[in-house]
Amino acid sequence: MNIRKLAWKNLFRRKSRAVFTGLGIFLGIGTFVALSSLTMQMEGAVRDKLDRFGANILVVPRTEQLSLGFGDIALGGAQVAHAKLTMADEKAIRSIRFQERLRSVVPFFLAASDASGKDVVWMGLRAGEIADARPWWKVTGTVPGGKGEVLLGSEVAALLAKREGEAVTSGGRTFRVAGVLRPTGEKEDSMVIADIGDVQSLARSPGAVTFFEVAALCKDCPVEDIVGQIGDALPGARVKAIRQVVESRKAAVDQFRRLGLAVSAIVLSIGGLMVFVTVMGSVQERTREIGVLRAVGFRRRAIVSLLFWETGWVSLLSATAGAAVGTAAAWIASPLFGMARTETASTPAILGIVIGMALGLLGSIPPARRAAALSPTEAIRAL
Amino acid sequence: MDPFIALDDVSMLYGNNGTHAAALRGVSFSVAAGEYVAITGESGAGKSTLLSILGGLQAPTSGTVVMAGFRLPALSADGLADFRKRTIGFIFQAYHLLPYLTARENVMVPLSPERRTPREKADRAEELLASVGLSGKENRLPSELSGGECQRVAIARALVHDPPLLLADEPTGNLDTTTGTQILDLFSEWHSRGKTVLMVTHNRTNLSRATRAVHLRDGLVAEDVDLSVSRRAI
Repeated sequence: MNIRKLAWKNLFRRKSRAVFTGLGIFLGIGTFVALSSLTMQMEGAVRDKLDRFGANILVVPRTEQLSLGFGDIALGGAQVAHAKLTMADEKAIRSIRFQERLRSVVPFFLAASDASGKDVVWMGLRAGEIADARPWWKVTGTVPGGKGEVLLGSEVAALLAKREGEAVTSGGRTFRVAGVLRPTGEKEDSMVIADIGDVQSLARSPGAVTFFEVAALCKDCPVEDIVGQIGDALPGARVKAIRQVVESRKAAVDQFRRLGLAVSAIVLSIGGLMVFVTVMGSVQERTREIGVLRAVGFRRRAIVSLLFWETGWVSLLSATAGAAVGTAAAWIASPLFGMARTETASTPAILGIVIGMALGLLGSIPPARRAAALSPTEAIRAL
Repeated sequence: MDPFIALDDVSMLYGNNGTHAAALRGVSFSVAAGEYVAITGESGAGKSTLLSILGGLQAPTSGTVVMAGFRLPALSADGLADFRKRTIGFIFQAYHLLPYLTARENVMVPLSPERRTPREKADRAEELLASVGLSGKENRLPSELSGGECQRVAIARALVHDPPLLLADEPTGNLDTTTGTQILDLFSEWHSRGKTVLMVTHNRTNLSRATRAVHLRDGLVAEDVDLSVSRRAI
């Protein structure tokens, strides 16, 4: 028998009180861990997007939305392109003043065509540039090595029931399936990816380009300057930096993190208050017991230690449970926030347990001081 | 030889806002080591107050209390706790065992803050439980023990640090006559082993084991009788 065990045994004497004490910490830590895990996942996703896109620039044809109607009858609208992009525009892009900062200029061509009898979207880019343009892709098999080979998006592979090594037919031609793209959660999942020449040929649009992806080579690039220079080089094109999109999402994540911290702080404060109230109540109830302990020679420090151990056990158990439930909740909820269920980070859970323990111990400081200051006379009167 | 306990003009006043009630009014007496003293008196005579002062749980309003060479009011709160642990074994009328602990664990409670091994603590508790006739009942909870057995556990707990003084507050007050006699037998046994016993009691039959009776009335020592002499006279 030692103080640690004495505290542990006392928990089972007053189960409902222990549960109530732990409930505040459980809810507080559960909320904190869930929100922190989600925020971390979101930040990870944004970082991943930033890593992927860098200071990428998208060059698309300039379009104009036209409203169609006759009299009072609205017939919807149509997008009209001012000019089409072609492979020759790559040369114009590469001729800008900051040309040395351009890491790559990749033309993409999208076309709807059949694949083994099913209508799908084909995405063409130079076969040799696939790995550089989409380094995060995970492929079962290989990426197309040249013309005559395709990479199937995961959904298309399922639709066509094809796997690597098999063949896909389109426009009277047969393409070997070099590989199948693992699910990305992006539009590529429902596309057939092939060499741009093959796709142009299938669409009977030789030299046509749907958009260019331009990657700038430097950190902190003067991306706006590059955007401006490309716009000048291609007056019929609309040029925009993708980074802006990602950064706006980052700002949203920052807001979510601040909201999460605020909510966690509120719930944790309530949890701390619950610890304070229940432990203070426990001290009041146990005046007699404390009197006995003082009578048998317990020093004040031993009484404080006993209460801290009691709260420590409750805090440890409830914070661990809260951290586990919070982590699970974040894992379950992540698709609702547009994220894949990836491996959950352990940092919020560990931090949550530490905070839970600290919260429990902080909340029990005033009651422990009250118990230690309890006059033996006051305690003995209760005997 | 210095007395084991010496009270000199000890008074205890309760109350505030100008109203005072005197629980003790200039009590003086001393107890030699190895005495068995019964403190008697009607309700409100000041017995429990005297016991709590002797136990270092309460400081008197005035007067001096010297026990085992220590002036109690001069000790700090922790000093008093250490003093109680070394010197005094408390036994209460209502036992005050911790209900969620077994008999063995209750006896081990005073050892909890100490750095002895669990085995050493358990051995000590079992030895004492055996000495009070509770071998085989070490793992029972207080709710599974009779009143007399609970009081035996409380006595074993009081003796766990081998204190020279046992302070008992109506130890047979909640027990039937037969069980009460068995508990008094235990006190006599420990007294015969050299312990000093101070027992607060209403029950005059408890006086039969004591060597001395201090009778309190209205906060004063009304009588101080050497029972061993009177018994010899009879």
